[in-house]
Amino acid sequence: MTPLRVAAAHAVDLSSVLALSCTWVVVLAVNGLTLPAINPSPEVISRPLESVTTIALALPIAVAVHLSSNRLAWLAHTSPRSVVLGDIAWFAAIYLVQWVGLAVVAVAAPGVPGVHLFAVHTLLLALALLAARTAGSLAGVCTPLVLIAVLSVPDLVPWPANLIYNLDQATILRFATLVGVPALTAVAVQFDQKPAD
Amino acid sequence: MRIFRGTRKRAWVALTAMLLLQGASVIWTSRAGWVGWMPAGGATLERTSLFGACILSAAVAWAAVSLRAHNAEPWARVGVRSVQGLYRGPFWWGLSASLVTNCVLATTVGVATRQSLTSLMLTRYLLSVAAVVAASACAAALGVLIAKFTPPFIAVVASFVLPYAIAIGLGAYLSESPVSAWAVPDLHAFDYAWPAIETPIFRAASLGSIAAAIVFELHRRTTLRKVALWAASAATAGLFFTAGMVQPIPEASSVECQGAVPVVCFDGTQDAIRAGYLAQLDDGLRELPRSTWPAVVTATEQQGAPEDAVALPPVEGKYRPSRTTPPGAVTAILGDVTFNTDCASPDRIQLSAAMTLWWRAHVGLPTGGGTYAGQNSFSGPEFAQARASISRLEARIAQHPDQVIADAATQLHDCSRPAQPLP
Repeated sequence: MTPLRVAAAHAVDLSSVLALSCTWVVVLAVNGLTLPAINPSPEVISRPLESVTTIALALPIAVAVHLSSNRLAWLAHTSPRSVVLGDIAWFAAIYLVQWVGLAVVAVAAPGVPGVHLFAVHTLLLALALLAARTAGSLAGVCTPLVLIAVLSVPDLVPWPANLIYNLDQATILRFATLVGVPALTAVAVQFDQKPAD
Repeated sequence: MRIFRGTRKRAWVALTAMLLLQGASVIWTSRAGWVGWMPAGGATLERTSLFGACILSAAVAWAAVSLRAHNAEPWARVGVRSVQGLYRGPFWWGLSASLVTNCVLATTVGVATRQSLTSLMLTRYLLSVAAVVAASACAAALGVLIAKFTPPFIAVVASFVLPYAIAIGLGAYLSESPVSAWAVPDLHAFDYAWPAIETPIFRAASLGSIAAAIVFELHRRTTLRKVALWAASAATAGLFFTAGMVQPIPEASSVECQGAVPVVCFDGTQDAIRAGYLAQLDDGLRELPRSTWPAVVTATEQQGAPEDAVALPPVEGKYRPSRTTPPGAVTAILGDVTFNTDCASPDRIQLSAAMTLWWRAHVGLPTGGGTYAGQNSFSGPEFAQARASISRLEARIAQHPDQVIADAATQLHDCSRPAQPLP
């Protein structure tokens, strides 16, 4: 199959492309909306990640989960080519497209720590893709949303364990992303796609 | 609705459990700001409902979007029942789950704040609950709308993010405008003053009428829907007109002092902390010679306490004023106040550091920071030196406790007396 047909099999159409673009615009647009203070230290003035942007990251991830599903999975299984390699290539394409959106946000939104946002988003995306493959697309959509929502409630999770908002833990998060994303993706492609919810 | 027949009951139970869990967790994590004080309890309940509304909206959207995700809507359109009728199911199970949750949470918060109950407070609290229920209906309707008009694969997340962004946006961009009166009130606005009684009445009426209009629309009751929309217009006009009016809470700022030596003063918001606060204060005073006891202690920063009172706030940190007292906080601050010095002499600053550290160790509190939120971390050079000599100081105090402590306290507070070197 040509790349365009592969894309069409993965639900890439006008509505999904428009939805993906719109979600990144929303992520950028809500950057000015500040969340209730999550960092417990009263002296902190700069809270670059504590905005609705972090919660809105679940929107492009939801589109990515949708695009990760293969409507012609049965056809791929009858092909002499490796299904796993095909999945890996498609997931890599999803990551690349998401990183383009992230780069736009990192450049256009003032004061956003780009590398940290990149690590947060990529790790959540990998978790979402794994959840979608193992438990269905609804689980894929809800996993990052639940994680972000829980970590966005002030004082619910101890601050040192808040890997999304605590910039002091950036090293751990980057390490987790570096190791976790290839590992989670490698596990995800081992599973057959679940039927649609 | 045939499509939900198998899942509706389980979804209802799951949604109720999820809403209860998130409500309880938000109420628990913000307890330092409201416990024992009903006005702040009502505001906490309203804040809690924000995430609840997002979850509710997402759950309703998930159920309602199934019609489109399974390509069932065209079938529904040619059926004998109206399409609104098909969307009624998700709306009602979502709203009933939210009703159960809100009633449980409202009762929990109400019972926890019964100490400061007056009829006016109870009325306003019930208005808060009514507004929360009405806002839930609006959130559930928003879920239906998003499920109907956005791509199915994004409906669940969009219906979570949108109500959250609307609520935060109302507070962020329109905080000066009357429109923000629809948004969740700021928790800290309910300490000693609250909006005029008309505002919560109109808020509950406005949201309630909008919710009623949605319900009537779903049930195809056109006349009733029009009546509800007229009522919503009138109530919203009233809300915008009265937005921003603030009244003091009379019971909150009345300062009451009790006890003999020391006299301890609290304000009306601190009823719930009195017993624990006094117990901690007694624990601390028992370890100090009577001559060093402060004559008057005030837990409140409100005007009305005697002017020469020693201020021992219940806790420092995120919530001001806080209505919880973490274990050891009052005992720790008592030592800070007793062994604090305003003298510029290095000897006295050193003595102050040593005695403060000794006090923390003596009453069994950490000496490296972390006794309570926002406390002194004891990181200056005087504390490093004091740590080195702490064992000698302990030995000296153990020989003549009352005399050494009283001498140290006197030296630290009276700069004209000659300073005595540390052991």
